[in-house]
Amino acid sequence: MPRIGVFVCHCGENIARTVDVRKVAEDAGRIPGVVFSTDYTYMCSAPGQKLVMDAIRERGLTGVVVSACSPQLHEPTFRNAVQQAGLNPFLCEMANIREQCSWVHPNRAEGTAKASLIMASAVQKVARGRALSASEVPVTKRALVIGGGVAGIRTALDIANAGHEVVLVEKQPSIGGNMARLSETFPTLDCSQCILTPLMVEVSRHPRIELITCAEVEEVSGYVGNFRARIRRRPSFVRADLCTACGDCATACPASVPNEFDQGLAWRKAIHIPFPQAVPSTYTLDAASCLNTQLVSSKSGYRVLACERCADVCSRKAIDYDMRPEIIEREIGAIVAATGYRMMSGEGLADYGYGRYPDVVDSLEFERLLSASGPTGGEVLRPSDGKPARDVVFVQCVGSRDPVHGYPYCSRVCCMYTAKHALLFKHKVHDGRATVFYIDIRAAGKGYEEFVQRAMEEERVLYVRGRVARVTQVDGRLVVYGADTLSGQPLQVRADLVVLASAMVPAQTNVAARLRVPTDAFGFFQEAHPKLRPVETLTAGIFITGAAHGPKDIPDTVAQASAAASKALELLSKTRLQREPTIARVDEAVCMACFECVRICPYQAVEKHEVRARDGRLLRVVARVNPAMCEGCGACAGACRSSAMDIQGYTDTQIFAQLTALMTGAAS
Amino acid sequence: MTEPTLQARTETAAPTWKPQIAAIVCNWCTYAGADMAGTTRREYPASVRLLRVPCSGRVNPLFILKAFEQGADGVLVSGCHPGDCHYVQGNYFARRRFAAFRSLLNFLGLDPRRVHFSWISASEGIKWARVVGDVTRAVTEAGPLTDWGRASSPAQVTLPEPPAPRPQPAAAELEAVTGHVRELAASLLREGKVSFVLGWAPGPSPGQTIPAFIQRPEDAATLVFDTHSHADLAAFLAGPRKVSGKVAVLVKACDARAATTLLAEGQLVREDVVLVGVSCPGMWRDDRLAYRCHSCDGEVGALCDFTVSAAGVQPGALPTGAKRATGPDPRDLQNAHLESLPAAQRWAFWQEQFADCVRCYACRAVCPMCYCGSCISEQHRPQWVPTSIDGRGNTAWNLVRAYHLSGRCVGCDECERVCPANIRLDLINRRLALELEQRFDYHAGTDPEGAPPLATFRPDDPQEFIY
Amino acid sequence: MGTPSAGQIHRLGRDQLASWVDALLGERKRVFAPVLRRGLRVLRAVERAQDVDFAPGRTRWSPKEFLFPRTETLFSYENRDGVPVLADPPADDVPRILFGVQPCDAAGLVRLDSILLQDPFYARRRELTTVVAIACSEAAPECFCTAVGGSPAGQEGVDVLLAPLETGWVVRALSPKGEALLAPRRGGWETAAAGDWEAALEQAGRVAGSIGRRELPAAWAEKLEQSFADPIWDELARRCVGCSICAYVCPSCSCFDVADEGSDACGSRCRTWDSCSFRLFTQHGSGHNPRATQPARSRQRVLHKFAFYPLQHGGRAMCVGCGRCIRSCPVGMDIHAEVVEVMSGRPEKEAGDVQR
Repeated sequence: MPRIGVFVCHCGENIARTVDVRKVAEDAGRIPGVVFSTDYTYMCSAPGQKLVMDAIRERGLTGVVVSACSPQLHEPTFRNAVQQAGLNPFLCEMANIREQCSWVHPNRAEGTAKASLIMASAVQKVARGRALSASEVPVTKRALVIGGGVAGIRTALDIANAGHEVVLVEKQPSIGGNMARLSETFPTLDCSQCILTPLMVEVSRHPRIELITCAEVEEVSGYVGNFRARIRRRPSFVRADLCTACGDCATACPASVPNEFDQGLAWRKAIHIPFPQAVPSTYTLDAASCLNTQLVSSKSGYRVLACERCADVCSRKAIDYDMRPEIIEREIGAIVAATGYRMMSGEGLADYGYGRYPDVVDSLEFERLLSASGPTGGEVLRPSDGKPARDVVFVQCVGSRDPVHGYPYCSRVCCMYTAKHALLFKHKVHDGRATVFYIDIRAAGKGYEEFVQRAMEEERVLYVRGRVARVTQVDGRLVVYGADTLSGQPLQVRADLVVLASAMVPAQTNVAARLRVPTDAFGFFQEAHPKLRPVETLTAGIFITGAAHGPKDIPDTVAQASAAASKALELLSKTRLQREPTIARVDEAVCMACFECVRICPYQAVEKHEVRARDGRLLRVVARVNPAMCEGCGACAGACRSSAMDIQGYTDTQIFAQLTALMTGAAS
Repeated sequence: MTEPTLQARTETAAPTWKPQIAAIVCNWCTYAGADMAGTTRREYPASVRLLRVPCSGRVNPLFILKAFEQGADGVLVSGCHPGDCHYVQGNYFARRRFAAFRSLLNFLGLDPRRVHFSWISASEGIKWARVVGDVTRAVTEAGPLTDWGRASSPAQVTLPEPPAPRPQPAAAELEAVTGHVRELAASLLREGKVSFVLGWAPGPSPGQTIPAFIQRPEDAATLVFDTHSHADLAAFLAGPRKVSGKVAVLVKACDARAATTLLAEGQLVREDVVLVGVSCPGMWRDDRLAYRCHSCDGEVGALCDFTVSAAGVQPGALPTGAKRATGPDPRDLQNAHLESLPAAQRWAFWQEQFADCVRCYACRAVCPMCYCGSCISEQHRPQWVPTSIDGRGNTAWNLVRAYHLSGRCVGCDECERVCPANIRLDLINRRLALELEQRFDYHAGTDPEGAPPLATFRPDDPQEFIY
Repeated sequence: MGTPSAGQIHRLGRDQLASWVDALLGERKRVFAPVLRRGLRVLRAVERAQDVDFAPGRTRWSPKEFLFPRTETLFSYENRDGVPVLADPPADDVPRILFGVQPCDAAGLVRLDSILLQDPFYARRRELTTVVAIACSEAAPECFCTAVGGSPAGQEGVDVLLAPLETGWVVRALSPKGEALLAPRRGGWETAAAGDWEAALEQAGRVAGSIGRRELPAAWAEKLEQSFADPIWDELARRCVGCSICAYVCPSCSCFDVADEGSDACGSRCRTWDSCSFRLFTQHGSGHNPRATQPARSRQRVLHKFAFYPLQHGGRAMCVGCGRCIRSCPVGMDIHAEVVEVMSGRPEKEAGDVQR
């Protein structure tokens, strides 16, 4: 017979206001197996916890139920406490009578009755619980950082500086990400590349960082502390160890395509370096634009090359047309996803004339127009005819805060960079006219509000509160149709250039799936808890940072990058890890070897196990769970027809007893 | 609190009656969503009681059955939105299972207002409160569940008669097949290719044909093939009934599908079995063509090592040319009639059927797919199926078996044939098979390598029944 | 026609039988009689004679369930504020009549008595029950009552025997219970003509003669017991699929399981039919099973009925030859044929002893 103690918390008035906590404690006392029950103002306080611990020791409790708040909050607190008192932590259950009872049921009678049922359900669960102990697994002391923007760079440097190896994987030929494209940064107006490139160089020189560019993480298997990453690296057709980045090849190359680093506003050659400060400082031959169309598809050793000019001019003989895609496998302990953002594209921008009129650009394109290293050398020239732009209209909230055409969320940085854009434009074109259409100005940040005020007042940027309905072209000039909601007047503004502050959307949506971590409805990585676990995912050992998690500016990104690094370091600093023991278990006597569990398990944690007699004869084959791989989701148990598979801590027996208690207040 | 279970169900709804609703929710999304509703003080009816599980994939649909058995008037199961599963795929599997189980409950006539599914994320406290409100309203409208395990009023259902059967095959044709079967059996045994031949032989009652295990070539002469060779001999190929050693087994079209499913489920080593397909003219029950045979063309499928027809023995699974024109399946006609009735009447119909169940488990014993060495019904800790031979226990048993056959039953209808209580198990199995065919384009018994439909998923599986 | 007296034989017209049933129902007696429903001929508590199928012959299940229910509550319990409270199941003292059962079924109840009379629930119901049997007018192919000492007009366990005539029925009380049942009716009933009873018996004799199955002598019990280790059992029962139809349709099988159903708060201890054909029936807590294979379990059923039980109960087999198990077996297991087959393999067999 179990000896269970029930501890009912008032949570001050939070529970006691609508739940008769004394009655719940009395009801508990009548349940067979409950030998002690009491109520207390704050169970999570030190005296409250002591109450629990004393009762365990003095009354020899075999199980504890704390009727209080959600297990998401204080389950660890009380499991710790019972462990200190000598009881297995998994014999402590929370009965959530606050979030799921007192806070949502104002009727005291109903609330009290329901609280008693919730408590009784937890009692039955504990009564059928078993002491569980965590298994331990070793930790591979190497981190994988996916994405080489400023978030990934900062994370990689922090981890490497702390003494652990880092594998940094970047899809593009160079690290740097979107930040490398920016002209100046708000609110200080320091040059983006000037502050970023030292970090990029540090990465390239760091003895503990292995940088793999032109590469994507193809598959991640394993589990926290013991992942295995499969990385596919596209061939760059240029041997990095030989290339001196002299640029002779690019000069010779006859194939020109739009330069994606400049958002297509300029041209590059098929063999190119994305930008002068690229890291690694190596040229890359882009197979898609090279005249040798068969570089990727044909088999090595038999190829007719249409053009070999780059190889001809390369004095170092660095060009290797036979380079093949490479699969790199690494053992990994922790993973940080820093896959960043891109600008929204597509239908949602049609009303603004984007894609139809070359002089309607998005903000990242405008950054390139402003940038001294950009296609115009920093002059604000119209893409259509290269003439200077004098009237520029900036449109905020394009696709953001607009569930109809884009996304309901706020992209957070547009208010600030639009102010910066307008200000920089005015600096460059003193007699130019800058008009900003906005809904609200969100300038919460150190020095941000002052920066916007400076744009408005010192630079005389015209701010119009209102949405833009559409952008058309009349007599070769752009006309922006909007409304001034302060005066209530419709408004038409002629413009040489229209800059759209388009929504930030996740750059990569397949990485989350490969890592098997959830994303929100828009593809941004979902954090484990919005407040308390902002850089962790729900999968142990996988962390997130930067705009992949949601729109954010550089200071926030860098701060979060260091936060993610510190969470990864917390993991890497351990020699062994404890695994949650609430995992699947097979009753091998009952298993009928249909192996649906093997098919279903998303973690490949169920294996076929041969049961042999002492003489080695094969008796039968059954399913067996690898405790190091199992995450305890229970998809196998939900499928098992003979009910051979069960989940510790969520056993069928416990669930049945809980259902009975919830329906009748008792247990089967 | 301590209100006795047995008296918990009141006959009529008191004016103050409030439903009891079990909500089985996943830890990561819906439970957190319900917490969110609390944190933001969203009021909702107190009728819903939560049970937290790691993932909706953990939810064995039989938990729903258990909840009703324990006195729930309604059940809500809720997990993460597709793509949001903490365990990546759990909710996709759950979605398929729920689709099958829900279809079963609907077919048996349980008021559809009693069973609900939803996807609610950790941030959707508002949605949680709304869904609980909707579910509570629906269950309240449905009223107290008083007829679980019993019919509240006589069903008075007359199932439509099947179309006129085609004439029975000529005796000479069956004798010819019998002769070839005997020859083949004798030669397989003589040549030592198998240690047993599983076939059919006359039984003790007139017109009865029963399974026969032939070990000596000279005994092959006792084999027959006639219009009563009902027994699905694939039942002897797996599980506790498995015949050891290399065997040749005679299979009709339906039995061949059973063997195929056993292969797909890894219960059969192909090399251990010689499959002898028998060109089947259809089986007769008393004077009527067995229902399953109306829509069956009689072809044994591609898996067989030999095919026997009146013309002789062919190696391989060549078509026998006996392919018949098929007609509408009487089971579908009868099911269509059942489904045209109000749910309550359908419920009464099935409860009357189940009331006669004596739990002899003959349905399980003859089923090729029931190969579990330890049936879930035999387990007492926990007890999935009450041992009592009464409405409650019988409902549980028949539901459990039907669900466990979903996506696996090949429609040999042996369970229905041997049922001493004449329970129309064939109709239930057929209905579920069609549901899975339509939903997941899965045809049990056609692909020895295909994944069972409930052990796989597509991200875009239909989910019209989920909030 | 003389004064009606005990022991007298009556002759009833067709309608009189129905009126009798209605009269019994009018006396608030519970009448279990054959009815046709859902294509099954089964015994059910009837509310009017009109529903009764008076034709002689087998019902799908034996009448044992009215004395030894499929499931019954032995006691219920409830946790009242921490104190367990036990309660007996509600008493049911309504007199009841098993009407229109076969003589073999009545004999089956006598077999059950030998096991279950010591149980108060069974005993009470038995005491309240009067058995009105109808002599068989034909034998089904699976029938073999004559092989185990019974007869189509068998009297064992019968309180009142009805036998069909060309027109109507003869009725005779065979026990004090039967006398008591008939006593209130005798005034209104015609006395049977001389020779009616004999005609009925003769008819039964013809039925007996049509049963083609040979006798299973009581003397075989010992030899059968010695066959325990004979490998023939493996062969005989190879096709047994391990359901429990045989035991559940059997009028004499009496095995049960006892389980608690309910929760910590309330529930009941239930007795439910069980069968030796189930693996779990003999499964030990350790996992060991003394009857590990289906043939071993199948053998148990045959030997219990024809060897172990007779050896302890004066030679009577625990089988009344109703043939239900043969008729309903999914794979045509034939208990009669099995016994004959095993005996044909025993060394001491007499020539010609083993034909069916």
